[in-house]
Amino acid sequence: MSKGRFKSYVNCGEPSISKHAPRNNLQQRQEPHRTSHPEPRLIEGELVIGQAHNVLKFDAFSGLNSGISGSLYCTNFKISFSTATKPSHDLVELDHKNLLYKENDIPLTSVEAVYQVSSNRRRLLSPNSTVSNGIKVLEIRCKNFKVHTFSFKFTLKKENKTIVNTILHHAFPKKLELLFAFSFQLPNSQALTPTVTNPEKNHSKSNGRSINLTKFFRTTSPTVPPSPTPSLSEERPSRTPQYRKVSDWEAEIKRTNGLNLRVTLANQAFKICDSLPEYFVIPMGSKAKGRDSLLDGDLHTAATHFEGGRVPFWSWSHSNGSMLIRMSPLRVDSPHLDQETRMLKIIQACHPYDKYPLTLDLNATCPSVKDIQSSFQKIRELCVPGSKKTLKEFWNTDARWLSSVEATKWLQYIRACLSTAAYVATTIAHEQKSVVLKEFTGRDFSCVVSSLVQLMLDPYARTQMGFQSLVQREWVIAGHPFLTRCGHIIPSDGQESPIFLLFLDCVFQLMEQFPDVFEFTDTYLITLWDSTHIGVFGTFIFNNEKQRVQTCMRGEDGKTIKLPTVWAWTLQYKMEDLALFNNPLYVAKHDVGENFLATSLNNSIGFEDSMQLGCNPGVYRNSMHLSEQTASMFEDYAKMKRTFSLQPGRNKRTGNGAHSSGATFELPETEIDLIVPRISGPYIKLWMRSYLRWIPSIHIVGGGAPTQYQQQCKVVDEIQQLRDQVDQLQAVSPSRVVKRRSQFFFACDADRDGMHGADVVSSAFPFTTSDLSFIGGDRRSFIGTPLALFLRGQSLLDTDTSALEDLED
Amino acid sequence: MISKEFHAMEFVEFIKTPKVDNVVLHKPYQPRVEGTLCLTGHHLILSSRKTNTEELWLLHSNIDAIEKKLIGSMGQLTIKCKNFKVIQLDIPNVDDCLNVVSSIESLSNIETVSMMYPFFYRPMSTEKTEDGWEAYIPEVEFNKIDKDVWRLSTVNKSYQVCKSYPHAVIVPKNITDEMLKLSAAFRSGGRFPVLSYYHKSNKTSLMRSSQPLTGQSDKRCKDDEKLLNACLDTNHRGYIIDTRSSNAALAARTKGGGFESESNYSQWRRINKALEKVTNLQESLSKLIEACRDRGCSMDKWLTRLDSSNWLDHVKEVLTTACLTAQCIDREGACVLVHGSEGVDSTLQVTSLAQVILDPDCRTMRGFQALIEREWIQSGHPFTRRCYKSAFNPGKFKFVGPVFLLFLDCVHQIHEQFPCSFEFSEKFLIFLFEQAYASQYGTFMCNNDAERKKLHLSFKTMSLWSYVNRPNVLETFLNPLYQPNNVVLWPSVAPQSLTLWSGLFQRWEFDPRPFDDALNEIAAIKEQDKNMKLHVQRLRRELAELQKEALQKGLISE
Repeated sequence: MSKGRFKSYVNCGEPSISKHAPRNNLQQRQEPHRTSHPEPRLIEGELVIGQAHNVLKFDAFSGLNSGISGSLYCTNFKISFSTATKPSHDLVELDHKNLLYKENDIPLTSVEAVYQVSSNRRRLLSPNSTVSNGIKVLEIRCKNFKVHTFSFKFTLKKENKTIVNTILHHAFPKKLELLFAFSFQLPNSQALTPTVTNPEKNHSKSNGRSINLTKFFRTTSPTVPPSPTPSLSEERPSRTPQYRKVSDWEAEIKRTNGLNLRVTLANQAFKICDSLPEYFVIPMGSKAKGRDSLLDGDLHTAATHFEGGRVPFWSWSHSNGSMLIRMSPLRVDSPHLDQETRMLKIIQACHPYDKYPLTLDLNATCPSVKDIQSSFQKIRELCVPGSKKTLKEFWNTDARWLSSVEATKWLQYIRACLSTAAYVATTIAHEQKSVVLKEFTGRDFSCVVSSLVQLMLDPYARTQMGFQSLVQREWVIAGHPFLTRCGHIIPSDGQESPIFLLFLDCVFQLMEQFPDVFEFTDTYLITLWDSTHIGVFGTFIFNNEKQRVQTCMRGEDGKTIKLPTVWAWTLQYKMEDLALFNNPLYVAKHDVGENFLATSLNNSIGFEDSMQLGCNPGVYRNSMHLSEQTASMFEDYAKMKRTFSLQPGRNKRTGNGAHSSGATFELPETEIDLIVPRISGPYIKLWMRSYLRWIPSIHIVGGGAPTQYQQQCKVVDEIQQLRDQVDQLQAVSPSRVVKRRSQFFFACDADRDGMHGADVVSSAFPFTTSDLSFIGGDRRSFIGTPLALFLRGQSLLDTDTSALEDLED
Repeated sequence: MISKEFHAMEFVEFIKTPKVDNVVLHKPYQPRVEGTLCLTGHHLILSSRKTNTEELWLLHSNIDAIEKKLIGSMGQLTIKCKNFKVIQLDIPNVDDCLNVVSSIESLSNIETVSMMYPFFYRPMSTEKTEDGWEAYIPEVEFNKIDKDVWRLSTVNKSYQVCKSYPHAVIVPKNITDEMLKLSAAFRSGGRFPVLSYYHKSNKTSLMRSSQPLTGQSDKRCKDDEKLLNACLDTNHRGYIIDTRSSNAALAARTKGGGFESESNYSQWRRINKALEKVTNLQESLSKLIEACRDRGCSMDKWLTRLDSSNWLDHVKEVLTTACLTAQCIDREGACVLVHGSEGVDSTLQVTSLAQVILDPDCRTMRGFQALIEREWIQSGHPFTRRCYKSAFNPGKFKFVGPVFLLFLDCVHQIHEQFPCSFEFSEKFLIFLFEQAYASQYGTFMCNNDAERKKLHLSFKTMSLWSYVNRPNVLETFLNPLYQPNNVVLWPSVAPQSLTLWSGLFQRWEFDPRPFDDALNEIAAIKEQDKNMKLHVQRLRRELAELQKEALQKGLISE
């Protein structure tokens, strides 16, 4: 049988079929040479270091025969390609909308490798080396799998050599201080304080696409107009806590109703541990029970016995009083083996039922940091055309796509993390035990697992604000070595590893299985991954708090350097684009009303099956017997939830204005918040939208998940508008019609030509714009209001196509 | 749900033990049920006589394989259904068990068509419905086509010219019935080229046939050539897409078959796109189901096993060929003739999929029904033979193979990629798959129109479409995300874009509830929206009345 190697039917095998004129060679879209060169767009603090003109940039994977002409610049922030040529299609790419860089820009920190391409060969240019002769074709690969290819065929030889050497020199800094973050000048101090994309905020619909940040910041004034419908966001703090203040920790203890906890100042000036923050939370024991209690003095002693000084510290408390604790093991040379036992006893004393905690050794259940890196490299080879030059050659390796994906072991590692986290989550929720995560460094997989556990147990962590707070607390502050793992500076000593990406991928898997429990979309996750490579945010460029504090103290004139945080999303995108982070299904479930609560309940009762199926038997002890106990267990759990009050900010969400339907927006007390993913074969999928988004020919034009997203947005938006209409009609003076702004990127009544120019989205939306020329001539707009016909309840049973004609243009 | 079975007497000889008590049933994801097992002429029934317990009501014709295991005095039956569901029955007595097995084996292998269940099924519902048998007859379908160029020929009205064609076919207007007869004599099984689809936007046609009988001596048939060239009237180019490899096409000449030579068909260019043979598809499906069912299978080997079943390769090849066909028609404006050897399997996959891609009408509920009826049932796909057994009988029967299932999977792939472009949901595709293998309706019975006429199916059985098109039934198959659009859909055929149809192949391996939730939620939104609109209307009326009243009383001015 034919083991046909993949060929896209589009330019299919029989040459006689394809009448498509190949896009002209090289010069086509290039305008006649001009005397003035296109200028780069610079942001505050950015300086041009090198430049070359008459450079050609090739389309991705076009086989080096189609490109646009422009100038290539290297600045202290990015490699920037500027062109006077207008793109042939409507740009809706998220990269294009980024306020810090554009789709043809490459932040220096996102450069993975630089290659010299010459006839049939591709040579890796080593960092900080110099080329003595000009090179013809330069290929720059990014850490997020994007590939940029430039040709210097028409460039002056001198310019060519200079630009390549400048890039090689600046893309791979050896010192932290050389990162652009330290040169970046914030136009406005507001950016230092993170804001959340509050859907209710006054969206500014500024059309300007300029990079005028000052202007932009003015438009995002924090005036929040009273919203006509209740929303989760109203009771939320509007800023992501940084956990650099005692009060942030206290608020978090309060939010989770944590018992027997206190904020310790023992690590001030990083006296006991380099990688822990100055303030963190510890279980303080329980004096009432006449037990041991944990004093700061004890911590000082204990720190000398634990690896890296990482004593047990608190992550999260369940409403049943069980805690999630992280720590490193005792040092091998520690003479006091009882230190660990003593700590565990203190944790036990903190438990309301005095239960001894479960200690889980993550080094035994999770892969190693090196495993993840080598697996990631294989994924990258699969998803970026490796040594192959053209897309055609790329396909040829994919005759056995699924087996190749499996061989990377990436999915297997995701399973390992999810199943470990699921085990911890169920232990906390059902066995009502505290769990201690023990990891040698305490800074990699314990970040992954503790975050996942909270996502499974705590609905607040599934909101955007909660998620950001989680990442800030469990990763940034807890000392995940972002600088090293992201490879921002070289040499990384083989310690580079995408642990954070692995975590984001796990979150994506949860989203796939529970599409309506996350407030944000996978677009948010992908954007967050991309943001780790921008090198502007203080969030992702340090290995720990100590390094951050020490580096930032060394500013000019003795001033402290202030770095922006990634959570200040308005630094990167306008509010209207940030609406792409909002998940309509979540809004439908939480804001639209009571109808949805019934189904959401069903949703969470899925864990029995995942217990029975495919879970690692070593992890799920007694898993086979669980199903029969499930029912009673749920009853117990529900009772428990009633005795312990729900988290503040979550339980009281009453509607303003009495709805005639009598709908109130209170969550039933029995709402079960635990989500446990299934991890067997088919449930864990490759995150195509993240890893394969740059390859145009895989894209489904006019289809894919984004079309579904688009529809969902429009439906939910329509419902909200209808509810507004009802409210307004019921109001005392109904004449005052206030139209509310949609909280979604796709609004139900959006102009059909679209303010976003995105009436046809592709499966890679919003990351790349697929070449719409393929559907070219007969590209017809989709009908304005989504599902409008279906919702009218009239059309589908007697589809009358003539009626549809009116709606099309 | 089911009528009384008056016919029980006829089957008495097969039923050795009609009733066994205390049988325990194990079904995937459901609590065990204990009850009485009854064997009737067409069903295996397990009743617990308790309310709220799901009972078993299984058509014998749905049973693909049955295995027995004797444990002490107890017998354990594993029943594997054609829809890949596997159930287990614990029967307390060995003799009863053996009797039940042999009864089921004979009952599920009855080959006499007239003894099949559709002949006995009488729907309880007295609801007046349209007759599905009349809904998509060629005369109706012909109304959609340009009558200046095409005509409806009844040359085959007594099924003499071609056994597997319907009584009427669409052919170029200037070709006479005599010419059709001559062309039929030159084509395998008499399947002369007929119109499959007419692409209105550029007046291009898609034809299908079987292979020409050129043999090794390069025989030719002038009327066949004229027939084909008549399609090229306005467009002077055409492509013949041969679903065999060029070697296979060459080899066919030794057996009397062959292909259109370039010298005799100079206006046509041949393209070979090798699609898998029926028997190999069967083997691939068996491997796939085996992998899906193997719960012990290490999770880390799952994708490799999926890969080695080759099922997704077959999906890719068929989709690619269909896309190519659609591309020739829509992009090149060239007529296409599709055939393999017999023209009843891969040919139909390609022509029907090309229509799903090109014709928005085929993505509607009724349009898709019409497509199935036109391109599969009336075009003579041998359903009875191909669907005689399913995945649990690899290699036993040469004529068995999941040709129709592969087509449905391809539709599902497009459905996955364009989730808002189909009026029907995935559920409808799964329903069609099940109905093709075991049904109480006559629609998928027999191998061609001639057989159906002979047995008077349209009088003696009920059409599946009569059932499906009842408004309350139809509603359950609708896709809430559907948004009609008139574009041609170009699916991605990259291996990265094709996914396993877990809703079908792993339907019984996992609890489907979470996936249903999304749909329920959308349905709830729809309901809410309806209520809301009503409410707005009511309030508007109220407001208007109040304003009128206030105006009359002089409280407000105009």
